[in-house]
Amino acid sequence: MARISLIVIVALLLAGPLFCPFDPIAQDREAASSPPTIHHWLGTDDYGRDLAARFLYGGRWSILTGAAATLLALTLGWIAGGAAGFIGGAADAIIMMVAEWFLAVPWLYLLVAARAAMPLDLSPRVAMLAIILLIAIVNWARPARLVRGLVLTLSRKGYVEAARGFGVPRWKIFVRHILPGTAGLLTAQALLLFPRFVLAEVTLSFLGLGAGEPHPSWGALILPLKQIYLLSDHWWTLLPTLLMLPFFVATAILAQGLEKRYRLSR
Amino acid sequence: MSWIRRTGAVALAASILQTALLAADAAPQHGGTLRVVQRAEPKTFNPVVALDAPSRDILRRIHADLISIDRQTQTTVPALAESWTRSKDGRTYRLKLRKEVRFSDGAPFTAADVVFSFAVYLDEKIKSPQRDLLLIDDRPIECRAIDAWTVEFRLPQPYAAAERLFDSVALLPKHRLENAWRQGNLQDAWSLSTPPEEIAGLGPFRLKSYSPGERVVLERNPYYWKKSLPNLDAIEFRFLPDEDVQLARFVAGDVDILNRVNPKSARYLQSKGASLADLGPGLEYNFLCFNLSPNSSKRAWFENRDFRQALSLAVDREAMARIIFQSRAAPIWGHVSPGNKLWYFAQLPRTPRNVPAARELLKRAGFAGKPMDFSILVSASSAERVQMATMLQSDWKEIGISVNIVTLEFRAMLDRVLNTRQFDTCILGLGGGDADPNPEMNVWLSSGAMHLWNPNQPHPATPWEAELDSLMHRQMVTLDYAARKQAYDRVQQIVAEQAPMIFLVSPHVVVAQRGNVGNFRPAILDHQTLWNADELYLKTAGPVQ
Repeated sequence: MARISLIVIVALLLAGPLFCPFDPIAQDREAASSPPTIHHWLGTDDYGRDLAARFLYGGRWSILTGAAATLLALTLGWIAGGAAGFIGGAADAIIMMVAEWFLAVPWLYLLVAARAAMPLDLSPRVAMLAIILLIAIVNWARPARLVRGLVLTLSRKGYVEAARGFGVPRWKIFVRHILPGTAGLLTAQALLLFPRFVLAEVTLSFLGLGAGEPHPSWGALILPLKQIYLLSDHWWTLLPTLLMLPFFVATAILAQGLEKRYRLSR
Repeated sequence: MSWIRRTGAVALAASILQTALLAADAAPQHGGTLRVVQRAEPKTFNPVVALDAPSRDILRRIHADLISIDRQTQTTVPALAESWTRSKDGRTYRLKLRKEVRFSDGAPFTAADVVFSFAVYLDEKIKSPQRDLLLIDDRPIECRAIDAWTVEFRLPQPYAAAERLFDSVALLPKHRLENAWRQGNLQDAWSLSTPPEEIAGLGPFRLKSYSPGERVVLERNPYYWKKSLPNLDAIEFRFLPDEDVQLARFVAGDVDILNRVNPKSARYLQSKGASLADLGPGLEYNFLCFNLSPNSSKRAWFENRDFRQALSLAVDREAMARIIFQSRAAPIWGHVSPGNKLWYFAQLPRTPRNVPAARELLKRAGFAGKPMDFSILVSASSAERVQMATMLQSDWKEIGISVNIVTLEFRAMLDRVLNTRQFDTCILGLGGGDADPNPEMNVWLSSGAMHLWNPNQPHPATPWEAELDSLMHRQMVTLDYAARKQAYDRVQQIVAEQAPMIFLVSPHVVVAQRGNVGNFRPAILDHQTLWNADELYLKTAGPVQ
């Protein structure tokens, strides 16, 4: 059920903008602060921008950022963890020491601090790339440590010892027999990290460190809700936030299930 | 025109409400604690070095001045000086002090305290923020005692509205602070850790307690010079940094007065039964300022007057007032808001938004077809100004200009604007203080540190800035109001024509009370609701439950 929900939500977010007639940036000031109507399904914001369009485009932005950051963080973690586990010795010690530094600092604070230290005068595309890069750099350590542990375990398996005994080169053992064994772990990690990274992008946008106005993002949609009068006067601005919930719930359920299955299989 | 009708309706409703609020004040009652909120804690209890608004808001209830500005009429009224005379050359003021006045510790107040106070404020070593206000043409005013109840002030040159200089200059108790001053550590006196009984003033209240992170409590000064006042037993300043928390506490009945209400929150508060007063446009003017400094990367564009005027023409000020401020703001084309009754220049052209004319102007100036982009720097803590930037971004997209919005924490933003000058344009607000033009000398003089588009110029960079300098000097030394007004009207006209700043909106001053505060007479000048704290009283039963 969670899997189907997630597929539907992601498909809707990726394809939704194609059939949404409104530009998420265009301001129609005559229709400012309008409750939901037949044209504006989720109403409009203060500037008359269609909230449904902003939800769909913003969701696509947040999900693509989260997905790209996940891919990059896992790649970095996989390379670093694989290298540490397989090479061992000084390389292992140094890589794991650096990883521990990253793990010791609360990653969200580190992310916010790193983004705040960067130039703020960035175009939305550059800001998106910067955020992807930052999320990945701040979050490579956890997958790296897990991959290292798995590589060490796999290195002691009988079939690896046998391959070593037959004189198979080290790199070949690594590529043929060890790396494929990390696929399950990486998939489970991907599903764990993906919603977290989407949430990280949402958080940065909420704090004004995301792509910035007028670019739509889920964080920017949540931002006005901290104002107390909105829930009584402009109740419809809550709708996009409610629609975000199924995405996060579905990904959380799926990730939990996968992690459980992965642990059982080990 | 719809915004005019709406603004008119709001102003009418507000004036009816205000009349109703005032009519209710019959016989003041004594006693009770008034609960107000502040966004931040005070940084000091020393009025000589207090720079931040939270400290000053508290200290103004503890201390008194010689001559005050009546916040409602915007004119000067006697305070501790019961009368004064001005010499024919306009350079000497002689002030008669009230007799039998005592500090809050019971010690008598005399001319020696006045001389001591001004010596402290003018002491270069102390670097009091008040010092700049007591310099005329970079020369200090001189103060001497004629007798125990008379003081004389000698000005280096005639200075229009010199009486206004005395407003909010807290008079200090010589017997308490002289030693600290002589030992050179007056800056450290009366800190937040000083026991309350060591702090004495001439204001209606005195410090009772300070709980860090929580509140400051002021109690009634039994020696206050206005007999039978103040009406209140105490004022409690609670520190609530978040505006929404302030609203929630107000609605819950924990707070009696909200000094400035965000226009968007006004309707919410009304729905909760609060008494609101919309006083119309305040003195604050919000504007976008171009960086015309020599190191500005976009200077080639910005120094073109047609470029600046084209941008101004493309701005939808009415929409800003309507959308951001729910019609509780006035669109402005000059720096003096319609709320400033004495200095507003009504003949200043108010050109409505005209996108085709803006495009034509850009074309004529040779900008047609060129890719143009720059950034707007804005404080992240001001939701309204961020919204202004968003609307400007959309307005200017229509004339082919792409804008990046850069939000920064307020102090980081000020550092870029005032010190490093690393910005293209910025949105700021000024003008919350006095109605008189003189406190803004440093904004309009080319040599001024607050001459935001190109500060601290050794010589005026342009002929129109040279004319601004000359007009501002002339209005400063002219004692005749009509002649001053004429000079200042011309200043407003030049600034509007040259458009180094694009003026946007002047928000209304909206205040709220729970309906239980008597003698509540809010004003557009700072402090909007507590300026007459000595007269405020609590009614036994308020209408809001």
